Amino acid sequence: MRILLLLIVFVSLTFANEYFSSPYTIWKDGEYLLWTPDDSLPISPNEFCQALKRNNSTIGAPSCREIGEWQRDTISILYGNWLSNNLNKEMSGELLKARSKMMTAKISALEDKIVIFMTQKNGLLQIALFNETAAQPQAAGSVTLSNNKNAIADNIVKNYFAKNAERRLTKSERKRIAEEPDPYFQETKKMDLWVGANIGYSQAEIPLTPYNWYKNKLNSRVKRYRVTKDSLSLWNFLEDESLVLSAYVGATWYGIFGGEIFYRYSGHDVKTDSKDTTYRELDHWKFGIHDIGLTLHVTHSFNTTKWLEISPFAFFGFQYSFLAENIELKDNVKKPSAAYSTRIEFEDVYKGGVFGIGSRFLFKKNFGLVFRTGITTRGRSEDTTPDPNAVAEPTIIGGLTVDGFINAGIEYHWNWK
Amino acid sequence: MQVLNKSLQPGFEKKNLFDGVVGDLKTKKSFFLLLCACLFFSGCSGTSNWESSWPTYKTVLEKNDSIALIGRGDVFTLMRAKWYSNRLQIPMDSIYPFFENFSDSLIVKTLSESFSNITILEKKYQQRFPEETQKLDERIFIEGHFPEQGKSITLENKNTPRYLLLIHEITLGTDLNKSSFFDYSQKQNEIDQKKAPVNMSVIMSFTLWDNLTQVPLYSAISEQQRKIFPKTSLEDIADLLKLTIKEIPQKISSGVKK
Repeated sequence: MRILLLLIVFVSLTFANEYFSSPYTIWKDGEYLLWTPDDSLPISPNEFCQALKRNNSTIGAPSCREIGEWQRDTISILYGNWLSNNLNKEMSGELLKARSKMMTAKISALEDKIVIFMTQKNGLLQIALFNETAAQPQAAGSVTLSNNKNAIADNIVKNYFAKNAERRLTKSERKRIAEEPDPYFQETKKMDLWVGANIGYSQAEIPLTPYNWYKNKLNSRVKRYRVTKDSLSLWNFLEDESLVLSAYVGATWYGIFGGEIFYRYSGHDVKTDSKDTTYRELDHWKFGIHDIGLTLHVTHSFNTTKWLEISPFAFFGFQYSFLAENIELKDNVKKPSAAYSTRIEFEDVYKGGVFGIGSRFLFKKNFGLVFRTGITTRGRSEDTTPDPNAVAEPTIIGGLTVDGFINAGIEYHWNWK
Repeated sequence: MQVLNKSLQPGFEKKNLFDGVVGDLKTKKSFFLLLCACLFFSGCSGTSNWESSWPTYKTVLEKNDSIALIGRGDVFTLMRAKWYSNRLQIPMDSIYPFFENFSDSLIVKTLSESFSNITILEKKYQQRFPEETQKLDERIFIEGHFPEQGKSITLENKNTPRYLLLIHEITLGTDLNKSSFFDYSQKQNEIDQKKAPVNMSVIMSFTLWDNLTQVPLYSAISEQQRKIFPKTSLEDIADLLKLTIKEIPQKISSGVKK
C-alpha cells in the first residue's frame, strides 16, 4: 500500500514538456535506436523496449538497441553535440536540422527505424525523435530525470509512442511507395470530355439587386388572353419561378478552355388574372421553354487529393429559346370565346445569352458533381431588317427577358492525357 | 406646418424608424465588406523580412566581447565596372583589384572602430566552410559559407572567439534592388534596357554567428542608395560603403529578441 502511494506521488511528480511535434508513424514490431552524445544512455535499450510493451498494446514485438554506428562516428558526434547544446523549448524542428550532407544521408538511410536522441541537461532529459522522412527532429521535448529508470522510459513512451502502431511495410511495399508519383502531381489532361444532367431553379429576381427592377413584371397579370401593362419581358406573361432541367455534353482542353452544348427545359404557367371571368372556359394554359445553346468555359483545376480534383470555372455563351404552348379548354366548353382565338402569341424563337460561374468536384477522375449559378437572357431575334414601309413599329413581345439560375448536376468524365 | 403634422402621424414615424434600421444594417454590412477586402489585400501584398534572429538571441553584444571577422575585400563585388571606371578615371584592367583593396581597408577600419575586441581573419577564410543558404523569410535566402555544426573556430593563438561576424557579400553598383538579388520570386526580373543611373547603391548580407553553439544569431540584408551627382568622387563611394558597414553593429543590437 505504501509503495502504491509512493508510486502515485512519484507519477504526479514526473512531467513532460513538449517543444514541438509533427506527425510521424510508429511501426508495429519496429526497430528503436537509442542515441546519446553523453557518456552513457540514461536508460538501457531493454528497459525502453519493456516500457514500449507495457504502455502500447499495438506495438507488437519491438527491438531496441543503442545506435553504435552513430555513437562512434565523427559526423554524427558533431551533430549530436550541437543538438545537445541547442535543444530547448524555443526551438522548432526546422531550426534544428542537420546541415552536414553526410549527416543528412545517415538520417535518410534509417529506413523505417526510429532514432530516439537523449541528452541530460539542466536536470532534465531532453528527447528528440528522428526518422527517415526529414533531416530534422520530428518531435522534441523533455522529461524529468529520476532514479527509477522504468519511470523515465514509461514517461518517454507515454509522450511519444502512445499512438497506434502501424504494420511495418515489406521491402517491395517500401519500394513501391518510394517510386509512386506525388499524389499532388498530375499531368494536365489533354482533353476532358463529359456528359451530365442537372436540376436547378430559376427566377426573374436576381439576388442583391433592387426589387423595384422586377416589381412591375412580377405583379403583371394577363387579362383577356393578351392584355398586359408591358410586354418587354416574358415574365409579364409567365410565372418566372420554375424548376429547370438540363442535359449537356462538353469538353475541356488542356485544363483551361472548354465548350459545352446544352439542352434545357422549364415549364411556366401563364399568369392569368383570377378576377377575369373570361378564363372560366380554360382548364389550363402553360408554356414550356426549350433552350438549346453553346457555352465557352474557362477553368482552372486544383488537385487537392488523389481522388478529388476541384475546378472552378466561368462560362458564357448563347442560346435559342423555343416556347411550346400547352392550352386546353374545359371539357364542357364547346366553343371558345373570341378572346381565346386572338390570344397572345410569342415569337417562334428567342435568341439570348447565358453566363455564370461554377465549380466542378471530380471524384476518382470520372465522377463529377457540379454547382453553377448564372444569368440567362432571351431576346427577340432580329434576323431580318425592318421594313421601311411598315406603318408602325410592331409591338415587341419578350424583347428582353432576364432570369437568374442556380443548379446542381452530376457528370461522367472521360480523360485523355 | 403640414410637414410637421405628417411627421406626427404614427405610421410615418414607424416607417422612418424602419428605414433607419435598414440603413444601419447596410452601413454595417458595407463596412464589414470593406474590412474583409482590406484584410484580403493586405494579406496578398506580403512584406518581406530582410532580417532574422535565432530564438535564443537575447543578449546584446558587449563592446569588448571577442569577435572574429570573416569576409573582407574578398567578398566585395563591383557591378557596372565600366561606369565606375569612367567616373573615377581608373583603367578597367585594374578596377577590380583596386576596389578589393579599397573595400578591404574600409571594412577592417570601420569595424575595428565599432568592436574593440575584434580579430580580423585572413582573406578567403570562409572558403573552408560548406556553402549553404540561410532562410530569412519565405522567399528570401542568403547564400553563403557557414561554419559547420558542432565545430567552434579556434584562432592561431588558441583563443576561441565568442562570436563570428560573417560578411557574405558586399555589392557596389548603380540602382540595385535587394529584391532582385535575394527574393527568389523576383530573381528573374532583370531589366534589359539601358538607362542613365540615378543612384549608387550598395547591398550587403551578413550574419552574426555564435561560435560556441554554432548557430546564426542574426542575419540581415541591407541596402543603401546615394544620389549620383555630376562630381561623384571616390570619397562619396567611401562614405556610402562606410554607412553600410556601420549599419552592422546597429542592426546586430536592434535584432536582439525581446
